[in-house]
Parts: sequence; structure tokens; C-alpha cells
Amino acid sequence: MNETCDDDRDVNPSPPLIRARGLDKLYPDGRVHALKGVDLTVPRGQRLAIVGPSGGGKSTLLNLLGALDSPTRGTIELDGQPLDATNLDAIRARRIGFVFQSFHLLPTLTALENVQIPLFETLNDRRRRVAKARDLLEQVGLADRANALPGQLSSGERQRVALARALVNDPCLILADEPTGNLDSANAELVLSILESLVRERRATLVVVTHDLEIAARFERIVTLRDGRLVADQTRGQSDSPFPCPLSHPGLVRDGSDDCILSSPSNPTHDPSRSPAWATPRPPRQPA
Amino acid sequence: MSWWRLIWSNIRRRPTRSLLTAAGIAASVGAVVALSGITDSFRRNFLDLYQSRGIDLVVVRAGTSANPGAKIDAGLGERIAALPDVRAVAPGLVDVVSFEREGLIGVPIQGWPVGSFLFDELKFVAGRPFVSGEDTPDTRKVILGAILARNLSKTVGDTLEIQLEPFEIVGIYESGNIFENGSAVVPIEALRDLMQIDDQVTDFQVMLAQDRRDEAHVKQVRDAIESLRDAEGRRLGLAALPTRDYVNGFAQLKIAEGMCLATLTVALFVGTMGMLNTMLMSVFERTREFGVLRALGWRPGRIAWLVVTEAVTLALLGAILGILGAWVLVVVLSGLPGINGFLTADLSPRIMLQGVVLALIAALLGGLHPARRAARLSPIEAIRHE
Repeated sequence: MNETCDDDRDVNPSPPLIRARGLDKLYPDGRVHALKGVDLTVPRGQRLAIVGPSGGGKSTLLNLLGALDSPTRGTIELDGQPLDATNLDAIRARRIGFVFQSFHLLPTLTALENVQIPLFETLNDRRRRVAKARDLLEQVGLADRANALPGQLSSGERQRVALARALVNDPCLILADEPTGNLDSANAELVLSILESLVRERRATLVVVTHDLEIAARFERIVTLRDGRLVADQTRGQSDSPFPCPLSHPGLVRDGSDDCILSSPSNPTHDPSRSPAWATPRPPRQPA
Repeated sequence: MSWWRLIWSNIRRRPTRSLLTAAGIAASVGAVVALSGITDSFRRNFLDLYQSRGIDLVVVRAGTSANPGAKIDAGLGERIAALPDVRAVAPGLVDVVSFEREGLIGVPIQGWPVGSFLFDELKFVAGRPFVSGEDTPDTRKVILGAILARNLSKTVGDTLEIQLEPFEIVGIYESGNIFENGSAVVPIEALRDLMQIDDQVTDFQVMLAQDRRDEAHVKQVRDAIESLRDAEGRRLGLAALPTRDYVNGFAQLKIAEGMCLATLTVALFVGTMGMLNTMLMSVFERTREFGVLRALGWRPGRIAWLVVTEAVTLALLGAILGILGAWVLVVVLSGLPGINGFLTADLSPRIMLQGVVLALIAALLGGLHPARRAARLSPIEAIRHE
């Protein structure tokens, strides 16, 4: 299996990047049936949010898509090639970048060194590893913090280091699990902006798991998982979609313009009966 | 960032634990290296005692190698000297005495024939060697090795009491061999008097003709000596041993080697258990970190290699500390009166390498299981680990 994205993008741009069929995940104790027959196709370059209540299967799906785990039933294809146990490490190293809610930086290494960690699997030349990591740190605006340890960085800076680490191998698929979950709103906005910008530059595909519907509303597609089932799949601006902008998504309302905003008690369009318990309302953004 | 920077950052994460682990390895390596070094020093110095004089064979009573209590008839020396290819024969008689007032136990007293080629290797720093016809057994003369003279605080003209008999010190010598520097030499007849034995010796030291020292000739001479018979045609029961075989057969060396082996076994066990404990704790504490590395694409083999190289680095650090410690110990011991006549302050590269190999084996035995555990962690479960 080809382990890089770029070659395939140019040669065969048509197949979706991810094609998941009938995914079931039953954990070994047999009591948790985390995913039940989930089908998901993600075109190349799409930016997708997975939302849903806790325990709905979001992270499980992300882990399966990220080759961190294998489904009990069903298949996943990345670039038309099935994921199987023999190639998961190489795929993760070269084609997938992970961003975690808790950053998961190595505490004894500097920012620059943390970014180099994934390169140990793909690049033997130490100087090239350093150069590439430095370049990524520059792109996330942390060139001047290269020698700082994670403990000396703010939460926002740590997540930006984690972004650089996720992107350093030029993956075609970026998976982010609650990437702004530990950040204040200003840092969340900054991190998301950088993430979106870098993903767009690279024509990579982005899949984000989030509880935050305001964040989800930034993406062109929102998939909702509940009790292990895919219960809603909405794409912004798609003509045949019943949700041109995910307006009817639980907890999201149209504000009169093209923007989607989060409903809240102060918002006259708020309908508590449609707002799920997992959706934690934030103050609505002011219309432009 | 180099691989070693990564390793070093992990070792420095828990500096006290890392230092204690390295100290455990250092203690194990140090004990083995020091003991092996001392044993090796004994062996080398004994061997040098003979080889520096060009001794090819040592003749002793068969089956009693290196037992100074076993004696052979001194008259056999002439028969051995008469054998083809034999250039010179020197009878040797050794006893061991103590100078308790000075705290010196087990000092060798050698009895040499006056005028023997054995004196040729001695360099007199004070006084003179024995003189034929002048220094008879009745006159009770002794010469001292430089280390022994220093330990006893004696000089030429002083009197030394050996087994309650007063001996006049007529010379102080230096030899290339530390045993001789720590021993005393008296005329062989005087030592026989002291030991109250008849015309007997402990061994004969045999030097072959210069062009007859190859293996084939040595074997011929050995066979000839061991075939010597008495007047009734019975074999005399002599063993003619090449110097290396003779020295390696020393009971003291065998005991020391046994102690080395026992120490090595204990050290390996202790080192391995210490390393195993440290690396298991380290892997447990860093479970989530390994999960993240796996998520970032690190192969299980690379994770295992990370853990093993950390263990090896710690072990090498311990080995260096242990070897340094052993060296300091040997230097200190070799300066102590009573020991300075036996022990030279050096460690051979072979012994140091033995310490490094011990540390590496402990690292591998103690590191492989934790490495395997780390490599087999499920990325998902590891990341969720609290």
C-alpha cells in the first residue's frame, strides 16, 4: 500500500479518502457496543465534524478511522486501500496526524523536539528532522518558543505545538479529538484558525470530534452519532441536503444570514425540546 | 534531536531513580571488576615471577601443584639439569611467615641457593646480594624486597626476627615483580634450618636452552622429567608444568576464581532485578506516552528499542561508575601494608570489558520484559491510562 498521500492525490483524485462500511465496535468485555453499523464516506479535502452526546461513539469512530483500533465488523478503506493490522503503524506514521484534547506532549522535550517525534519513523537525517520541525513551528507561530519545554508554554501554545507535530509528516488525514476542549475561547479560535488554514494549504482532510456545536458549525459537514449510530449527516450548501447549512441540526439555528449559530435561552429561536442534553450552549455570536 | 537526546531526556526525568539504578549496577560491576581484577593481578604477578626470568617449566611433586607443603628431594636438581635441552635449574623453597607486630600476615620467605641465576633479576637499592662462602646458613643473613623493607621500616644493617631467629639485613632489592618486592630471600640452607627439613625443595625452576623453547622441545623435556625413576626403577612422581599451567593450578587462584564466579552470579541477579524494577516502573508511568508515540506512528519495535536503549544507557553509566570505583578500590588496597606486596594497582582492559559485558547483560535481561510490555500496549488503552 502506498503510504503517502501526495502521489495518490495527483494520480487518482476521484475516490474518497475514507470509505467506512458497516462499522461495528464491540469492546472485549462485551458490554459496550460502541458503534453499530456506521457507514461513512469522506471525500478528499473535506472538513468534517463529528458531534454527539458522550458515549455516542465519536471517539471510537475517530480511533478506527485513525488506525488506532480495529472494528469488530465492517471495513475501512483509506484511499481505496483497506486498513488491516499489518499496515496500521506505517499508515499512522505517514498518512494520519493526530491532535488530542490534552495535547500529550512529552514533558522532557522542548517544543522543537516534540514536533520531531513523528519524524523518527519517516526521516533518518537528523538535520532535516530539525529543519522540518522548525518550519512547522514557524507556521503555527511558535518559532520563538522552539526551545521551551511544554511546562513553560500556555495551553494554547501547547496545542499549537501539537498541531505542528500532527502536520509534520504532511499527512493527508488530520484527526482531532476535542482539540479546543482544554482551551479558552480566544486560544480555541486561534488554534482552530491555524488548523483550518494549515489543512486547507495542504489539501488535507480534517475530521474533528467536538462537543462544541459552535465549532462544529465552522465545518462543511457535520455527522451526528448517538448510541453508536450515525443519526444525522449534514453538508453545508449541498443542494439535495435537507440542511444546506446545518441549520436544523439539534442546537443550531440560522440567524437570518448564512451563518449558523447556537441556539440559547436568550435566543428567540431556541427550542429546548430540540436541544440535546450534550449540547452545552455558549453565548451566540453576534451576526456580522 | 538525536535518538540519544531522547534517551537522555527520559533518563533525566527521574534523576534520583536513574542514579540509584546506575548505582546498583555500579556496585555489581564494581564488586565483580575489583574481585576479578585482584585475582587477575595475582595471576599475572605470579606468572611474571617465572616468565620474567625465562623459566619454562616448574617441577613439583605430581598431584600437589602449588602446595608448598609438598617437598621433593633437592638432589633431583642435578639429574634434571643433566637432561638434554635444559640450560639451568634452580631449586626453590618457600615458606610463609608473619610479622605480627607490624601487622604483616603471610609474608613469603624464599630460600635460594647463593649464586643462583634467580638473583640476576634483582636490583639492589641498598646493601648487597649474598656472597658465596661468606653468607653461610650459620651467619643468618637476609635480603628484603623494597616493599617489605618499607612495611617493616627496616634498612640494611638492621636485624629482622624470623620465626624467633635474628637475621641481619644485608641488602634491599627491587624486582620487576611485586611478589618479590614484598618478600624476603634467605640462603636456601638457612630456610631449611628454619623449616626443620632435610635436603628438600618445594620446586625446581627449569630454564631451557635458548633455541629449544618451542612447544615440541618443551614437551620432550617434560616427558623426560616426568619419566625419571629411582634406583629401583620406580617413577619419581614428578610433574613438570609449563609456568602458565603451574600458576593456573594454584589453589588460591582457584578459590578466588570461584569467589569471582559467585560474585558475578549475585551481581548479575541484583543488577538484573534492579534494572527490571526500574524499567517496569518507568514503562508503567509512561504508559500514556507510549500510547501517544504509537498513535504518532511509532512501530512497536521502535518503542521496545527506546526502552532497551534506556536500560543499556543506564547500565553503561553504572558500568563506568563501577569500573571507576573498582579502580579506586584496587589503588587504595594496593597501597595498604600487607597487601601492597601482592597487588598491583591496575585493571586489565579484559577485566573492565568483563564489567561492561556484565552491565549489558543485566540491562538486556532487565530491560527486555519491560520493553516487550511497552511495545505490546494498545495505543487506545495506553492513551486512556491514568
